[in-house]
Amino acid sequence: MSALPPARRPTSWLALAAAGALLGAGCIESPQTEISYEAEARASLARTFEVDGITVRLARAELAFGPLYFCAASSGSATLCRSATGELLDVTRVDLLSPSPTRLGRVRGTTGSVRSASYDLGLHWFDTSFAVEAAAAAPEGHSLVVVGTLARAGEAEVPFQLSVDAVPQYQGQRAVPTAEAAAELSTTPTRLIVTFNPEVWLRQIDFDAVLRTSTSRPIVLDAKSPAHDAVLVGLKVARPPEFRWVSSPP
Amino acid sequence: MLPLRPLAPLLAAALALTATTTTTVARAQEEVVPPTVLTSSEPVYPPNQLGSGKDVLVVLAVTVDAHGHVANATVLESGGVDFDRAAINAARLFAFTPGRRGDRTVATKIRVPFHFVPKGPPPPPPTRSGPTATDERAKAPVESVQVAGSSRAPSRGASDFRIDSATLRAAPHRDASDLLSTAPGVYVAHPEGDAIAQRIYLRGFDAVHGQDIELKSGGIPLNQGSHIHGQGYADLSIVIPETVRSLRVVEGVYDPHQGDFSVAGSAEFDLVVEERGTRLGYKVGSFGTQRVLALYAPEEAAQETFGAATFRSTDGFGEGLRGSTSGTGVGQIRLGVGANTFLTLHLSATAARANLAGVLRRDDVSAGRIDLYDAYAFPTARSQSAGSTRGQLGVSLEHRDGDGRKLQGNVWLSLTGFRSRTNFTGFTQRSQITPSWVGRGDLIEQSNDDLGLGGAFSYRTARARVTDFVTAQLEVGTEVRTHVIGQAQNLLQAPQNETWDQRVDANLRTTDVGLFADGLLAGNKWVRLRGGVRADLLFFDVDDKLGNFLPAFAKKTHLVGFRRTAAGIAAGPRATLELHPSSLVTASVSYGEGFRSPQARQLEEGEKAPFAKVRSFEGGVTLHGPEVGAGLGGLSASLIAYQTNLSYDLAFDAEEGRLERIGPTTRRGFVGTLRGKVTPWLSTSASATFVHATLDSPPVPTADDPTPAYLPNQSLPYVPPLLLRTDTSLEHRLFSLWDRDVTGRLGYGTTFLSPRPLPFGQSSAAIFLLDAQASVRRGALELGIESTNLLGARYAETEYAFVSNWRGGAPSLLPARHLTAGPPRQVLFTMGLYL
Repeated sequence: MSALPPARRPTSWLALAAAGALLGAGCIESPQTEISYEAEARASLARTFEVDGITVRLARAELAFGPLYFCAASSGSATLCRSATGELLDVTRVDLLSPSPTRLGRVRGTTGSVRSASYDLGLHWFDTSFAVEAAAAAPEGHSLVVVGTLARAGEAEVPFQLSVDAVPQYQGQRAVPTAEAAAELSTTPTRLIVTFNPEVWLRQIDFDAVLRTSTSRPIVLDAKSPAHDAVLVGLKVARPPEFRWVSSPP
Repeated sequence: MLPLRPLAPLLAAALALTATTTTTVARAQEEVVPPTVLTSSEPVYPPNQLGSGKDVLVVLAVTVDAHGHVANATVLESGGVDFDRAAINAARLFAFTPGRRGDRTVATKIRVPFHFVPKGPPPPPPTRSGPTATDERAKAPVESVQVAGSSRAPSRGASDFRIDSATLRAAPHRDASDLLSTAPGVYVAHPEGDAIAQRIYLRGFDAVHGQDIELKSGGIPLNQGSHIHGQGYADLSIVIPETVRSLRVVEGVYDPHQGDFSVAGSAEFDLVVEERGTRLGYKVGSFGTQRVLALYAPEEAAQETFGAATFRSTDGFGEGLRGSTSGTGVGQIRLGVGANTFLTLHLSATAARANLAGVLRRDDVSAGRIDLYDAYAFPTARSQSAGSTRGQLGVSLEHRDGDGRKLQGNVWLSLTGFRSRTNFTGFTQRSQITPSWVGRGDLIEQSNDDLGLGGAFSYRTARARVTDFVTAQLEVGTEVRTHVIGQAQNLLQAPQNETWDQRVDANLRTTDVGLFADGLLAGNKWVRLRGGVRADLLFFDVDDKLGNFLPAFAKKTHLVGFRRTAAGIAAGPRATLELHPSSLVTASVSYGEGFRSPQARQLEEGEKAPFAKVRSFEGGVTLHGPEVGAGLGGLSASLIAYQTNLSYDLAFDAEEGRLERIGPTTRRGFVGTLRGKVTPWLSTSASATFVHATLDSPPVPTADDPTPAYLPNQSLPYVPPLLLRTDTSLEHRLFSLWDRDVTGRLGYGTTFLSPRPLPFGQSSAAIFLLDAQASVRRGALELGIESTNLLGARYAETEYAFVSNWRGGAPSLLPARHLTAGPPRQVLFTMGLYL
């Protein structure tokens, strides 16, 4: 029973006594209970890895993540999931190169089933927005920014800068309208771990073609680049973020 | 001039004897104690007829008002113009103790014979059947006593509550709907402002705007089937509180007269003005509120005859966000049109327009982002409003005989209009016609125009003796109504109110043909079984102009529109067994099956109309205390246990702004009441209602609604498990001022609501409210002060849980608690003139 600030709560002793007696008697069942829990992001991106004989050395890899919604239906689409069972409204910039988990914030929701997720990656087109907008946490206004160098064996390193924009298809939709997620949540203390696999995303890029066709230095891989779409496929389809709930001590 | 035989005193004695003789019978049948003669007058034999020497009988129907005065006298049996005039002149000089119904004085109509006999030789025996002082037949003219008021419906058990005027007037009430809160287990709120019907909670039911309670005023049903804003929508602003003498609330479905929407029960306002004359009233006070009342109730007419009008305007609390203007006019005439036959004409109309503040997210209020009494600053939130009108005409005819026979019928016509613009959810909606249109504000405009015609006819037999110990009586009747409805629902973009989506555009025709039989078996004075059966056929014709809707992305395969018809019959028994083991105790058990008609637009072609079926059980015991004064009654206490099962329930869906199905429900509970007069000047009514209401089988998750708000066996949302209510009034002579008594009146009402469960496992806060008033009256002038929410509680009048987006930015998709602010303390100064 919460008050209305700067409210005076119902002052009658009778009211309080009766309310207490009633609640104490368990007369109000609450099959769905509000819960909240911490969420963190983990990434497993090595600073150097090799793709088709090309060494990729990363200096910076940042991803904007959020807002995030969980749905009890198997589709988290905005048109099919109009109320969520959990949500994280913050947008967080995740350093994909950091070995430490990044705190995403606190998920608020209710107990029950989670069967799908939907989320934005720093770029959103909310119901009330007239166009796609970038969150403050989006690196340089993009969903993903990766900076590093490419080098064939025995050749000089070529700097590159990749920026990926995961744009919602239409107003009111999320960038990733539905993604796999499954859990049965109770009031047992829990924690959400979101795992990113950016190396898989980057491996979708044909770096050989990039080196062969790009003349600018650094190489700029933006929304017009085939690499941009390749990374999006990796991010959304090949290895989307994984959602895992683990028990957490209170 | 020939001296006359002094007949008047003998007539008076005969009347007194008549009254005594008929008292028991009248109580049993109409529960009315007829008037008795205090002073009489001797009729004067017409001088111009003295030469005739005729023995003449004139029989008059004399209306005795609630003060014992002769209000009217009409000729039933004429003896000629001169004799009639002489009889009327004599009758006007009579004085009576007024007739009584229970603890109230009532106007009555009695049959008074005047026998004109010239003094001289003994007259021959009267050749006509009229009684004389010496005629034994005068001792048993049961039929000569008739009540000018409408008959009182028989009791249907412990939950058949008759709220008297003392209780109704104890606490201040803003409008007639608030009078309902004096009944046990009833809470009335106005979360959607002054121009949208009240929200009623009754014994574990969230009856919303009337979906679960049948409401009638002056015999005219007020519920509107298939209303766009809510099934059974009933706006009680058509009733002026000052014209309500009493209120009958039947909690449960135990009376075959109860029709559609009698799910939790029914309520009927008894439109009678007891204090005759002209009354002017004026109230002024908080938030620029003003109310004017003009009421005229001619002294010589029946108490059902009056005219009244009221106008009210207010800026509303919260800086004008809730301003409203409204007015209601009522005219009603009751005429005697023959022996024991009465005709009542009723005409009333009301109109109201109000600005609405809408709902607030509780988290916004708690965080101080918005004040409880404020509204969101978006144009879509500040454009909320509502307007409603209703006009109705009713004609009823009633004929009663002294042996219990009754023939009655009424016909009514109603015309209502409704238009609301409300936004519960902020910015969540997407246009269905042009899906790229989104986020323009969920300002839902609803309109509903309804032309209704209906009536009821019934006949009750005389009470027949079946055996030496058993008497029986049967009433059969029909109740019909038909409506033509046009309704629409659109999304508007404020502030220009441009239409950006269409959701409903439909024309409906609905017809209800009800038949009922209601019987009485009275074993002896200890046992009485009353009940029968009722069946209703409901027909629906729906022209859904947006049916078979084609989404924008779909290939055009047909034209939009879906016309369909459906019909069904709902039938069920209702019965009450009453035991009267002593004059101090009444026990009863009741069972009944009722129904609620479906929302027409939800029906499919040829579908057997899926009525919501309700089954009610209850048992109760009432203890009657001793009278505190002659005819004043005393305290009575009752304890009732009940259970109600409903085949499918409805709950408010904020996204659509209307009621949606949530599945079968069960309610079990107890009611305790203590009512009556503690002393002749102190009346009290207290009740406690506990209910355990559960949702048995809510809708399963679907693609459209994967996260339904309800789970099996959860507590029913919005319903307060515990409701306490008291109404207390004190009225006493204070002192004398300039040879006139000054009377003081003090009254108050308290309401306690326990925390109410909400969807998604949440619950609202408890509420405690105190309303009080005080006044003094000397002669024609009355001055007073009244206050609602005297303790100044800041509370949520109604709470909801649903998804909304009122902030911009990342929208929350979690169902959140929303509230409408309960009115803060309001103080009004009142003045009344009784002319």
